[in-house]
Amino acid sequence: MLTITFLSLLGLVLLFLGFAGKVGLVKNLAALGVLASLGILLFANQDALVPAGMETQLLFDANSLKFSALILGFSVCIVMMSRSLVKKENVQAAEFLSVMIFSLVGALMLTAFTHMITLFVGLEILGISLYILAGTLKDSPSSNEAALKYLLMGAFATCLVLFGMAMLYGATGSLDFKEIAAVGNQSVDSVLFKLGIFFLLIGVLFKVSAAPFHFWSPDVYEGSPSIVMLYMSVVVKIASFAALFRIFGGYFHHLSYFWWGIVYYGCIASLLVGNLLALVQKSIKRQLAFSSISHTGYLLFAILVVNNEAIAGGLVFYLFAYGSALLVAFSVMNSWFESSENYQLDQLKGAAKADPVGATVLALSFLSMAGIPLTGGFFAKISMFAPAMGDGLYHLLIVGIVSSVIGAAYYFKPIMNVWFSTEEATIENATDMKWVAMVGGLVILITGLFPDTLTSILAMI
Amino acid sequence: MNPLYLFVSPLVAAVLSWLAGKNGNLQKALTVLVFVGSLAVLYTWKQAAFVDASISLPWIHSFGIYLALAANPINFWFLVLTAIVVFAAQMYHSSKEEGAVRGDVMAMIFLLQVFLFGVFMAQDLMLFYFCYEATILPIYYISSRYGSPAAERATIKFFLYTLFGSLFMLLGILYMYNSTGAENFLISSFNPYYFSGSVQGWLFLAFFIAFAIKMPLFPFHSWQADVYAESPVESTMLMSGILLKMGVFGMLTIVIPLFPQGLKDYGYIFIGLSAFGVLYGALVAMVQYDIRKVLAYSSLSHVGLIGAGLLAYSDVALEGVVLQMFAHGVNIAGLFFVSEIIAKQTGTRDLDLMGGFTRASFGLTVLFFVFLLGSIAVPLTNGFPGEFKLLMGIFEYNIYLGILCGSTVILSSVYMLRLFQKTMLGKESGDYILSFQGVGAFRTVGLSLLVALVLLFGLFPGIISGVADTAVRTLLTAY
Repeated sequence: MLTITFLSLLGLVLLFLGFAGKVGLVKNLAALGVLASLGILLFANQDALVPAGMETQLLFDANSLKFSALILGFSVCIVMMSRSLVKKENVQAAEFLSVMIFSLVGALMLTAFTHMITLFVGLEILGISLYILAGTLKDSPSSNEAALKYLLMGAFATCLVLFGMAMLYGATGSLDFKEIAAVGNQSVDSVLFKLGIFFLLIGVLFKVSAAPFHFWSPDVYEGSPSIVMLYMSVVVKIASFAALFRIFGGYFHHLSYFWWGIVYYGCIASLLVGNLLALVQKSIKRQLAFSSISHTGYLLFAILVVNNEAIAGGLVFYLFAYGSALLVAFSVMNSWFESSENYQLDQLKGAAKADPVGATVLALSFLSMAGIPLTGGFFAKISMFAPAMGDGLYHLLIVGIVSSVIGAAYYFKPIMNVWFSTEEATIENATDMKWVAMVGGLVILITGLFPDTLTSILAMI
Repeated sequence: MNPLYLFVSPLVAAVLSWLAGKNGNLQKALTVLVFVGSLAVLYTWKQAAFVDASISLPWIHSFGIYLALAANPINFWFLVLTAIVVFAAQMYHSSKEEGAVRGDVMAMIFLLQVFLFGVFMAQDLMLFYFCYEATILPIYYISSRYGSPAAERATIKFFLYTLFGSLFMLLGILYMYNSTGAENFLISSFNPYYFSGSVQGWLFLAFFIAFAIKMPLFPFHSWQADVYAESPVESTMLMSGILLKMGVFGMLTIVIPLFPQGLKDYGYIFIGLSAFGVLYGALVAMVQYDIRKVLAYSSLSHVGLIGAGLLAYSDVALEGVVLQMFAHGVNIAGLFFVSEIIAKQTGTRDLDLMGGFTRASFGLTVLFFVFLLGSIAVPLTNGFPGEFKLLMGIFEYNIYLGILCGSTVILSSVYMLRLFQKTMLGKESGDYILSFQGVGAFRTVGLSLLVALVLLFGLFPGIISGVADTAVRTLLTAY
């Protein structure tokens, strides 16, 4: 709660500083502020300063702290990376950063809700902020299109969630997840209850962009500025998976016979649709958007397995490995193509000649996304596959490995273009802040060679 | 001595050779140093009967994975072969003309050596898998970066193909871990009694597809010829000389001891296919005009024989497997080496445009001929004892398969002698003969060493079988 309060205040302060014209201060304060909020999250007592009536609605348990720490940690990096975006002429730095920080409030609520109201408020704070962020580039038609599309589809998904919530309330007479789950145990035959869970699940699957509810995400990802796309596919993904895991891996876990089949086929569909469509893309952002759908598929393994306590660690590990790989890839590509927002795979050709350090790091990050050994992505994949194997989900696993091979096929396209093309480099400038990229590459290697370092750090949270 | 030594020293060498960059002499020195060092370590282990040649450190607690490495009589010859083939490849590269030596290629080959030692010494299935997968990366890098323009496509096909196979193996490993309740992946904590007959069948298939693609056995070979032809010769030597031996090794130490029932249930299908591959590879090799492709298909044919021997599941055949995998590794590396020298000199890989090379260099002709004879498996060369034992084992298994595989004795001499005739004999077809400068001192010494190995193990196959035979028999009777 303390973190959430702090972030809300931070957002307000930044907004007013922006009105006062102190844009330079805003840029520095934003990153520092998010870093401070991470400190507060880790070291302060989250139960302090909870207003009366809220104590039953938000609860920061061990899992929420881990997810929140990931969210804030990645956000610090993304806020720092957004400097290149906010210095553009028609982007309002203060508004952009404060909206991003407001959205973090929603993201944190999604990791810690215990009540349908807090879930809904969290979803909406996050969602509405994102509609604005997607339209950051006011003069760009594709950015506007992304914002509008996201708004329409997001509102539709919200409707479904709300619809489901209403039905659950009707069936059980409660908004508290624990109570609903307890009542649900007795009234399993109630159609209203089943429909409620169904709509809630569909709504949340919309938010995590699982197939077949994924249609919005490639267009929105492609149209948004790349920082916002990064933010959506890292931070928002963590937050929505935290929510999905909290509801269906936690509260409604014992009711799995209602919803398990939907998630199962959603998982298979996401793996196949995401990977197959990513194979034919020419734009990197679009490719990564489809790859994000396929990673949703792998992450859904965590919802499907029975022993949800054991998989929580694996889920966090996966999200970290995926998020860090994506972050590193974008940090390199953003400095390579400063002026353009929509870069194509072909533009990467020959880049290794101009910038070997950046090219190496980029290759590592794509290898990690493909789940090749030596990188964190490998153990991330194992941490999803091993529990599924324990549950005997053999068909799912075979789909999983086939789509891993398809995944490798397109993750290698950028690597091939960067390293093995004989053409001259067309990148605009070499990676600025090389050491940051190198640290990122090192993180990928360390999580790949000694994943215990990450697991033990996470265990301390 | 600690196995970590063998694991870490190429890693150090990789960093050094990357720093050394284009300095050919430094690279040569590193090549020799690591080669001699590795052989010395291996020799001390053998002298000490592999006592203390093992180590087991916890590596990843959260998954129960150990850094468990050990040298033993079974993997000993695989380790020696690794050192030899890596030496051959690096010798080729480091003695290239001024300015063509690349630090990154050398570093990648050393890195590959680390992973190969890891594969062969791993006592933990996850470590085995990790290294097994990681070996593709250096090869992929070398082939794509320095291969012909068509190499990029061929190597990505190779990469995806092998990844596809090894992911099935990963599923198999995870299944074994889950079904036995062992809290670790150590090979020693599994035995065939944990798995029922049908489960062994599935596990056999999962592991076999990984290893069969790697070797490659017919009908999983479609990646092979293109990659061998389009890659730089260093990586072709490594792939044919040692990388495919990982498949042989996996069959020998994981599949045969742990899934004997699966082998009995499904092995007969694949032994037939492998035996067909022997004939198929030989026939295709006969009509190829690309010198690399002749060798690629000859390799398919020879490895088919090794594969059939593995699946025949008898002690004679498995002894033959160890002998033959070693012989094949040395011979094919030598053949690719010499054929590349010839191809570079003539400026083409087309057999029809070559000829008369014996006039340019008689010494090279002799070296080439010895490798050829080894590959044909003429008595007194290293190919003979292995092929003999393999054929004996396969004949015992099934006489018709034995006859099918026996065709290799004749066919291999047909395509190999055709290769010799087209390259070395006949009229010289260009002025390249006059301009041939010789192979250089470093390469001469290195190639002579390989040739010496061909003859040494042909005359005294007991050097290998003395170490390996008992170990192989224990594999069959372990449980």
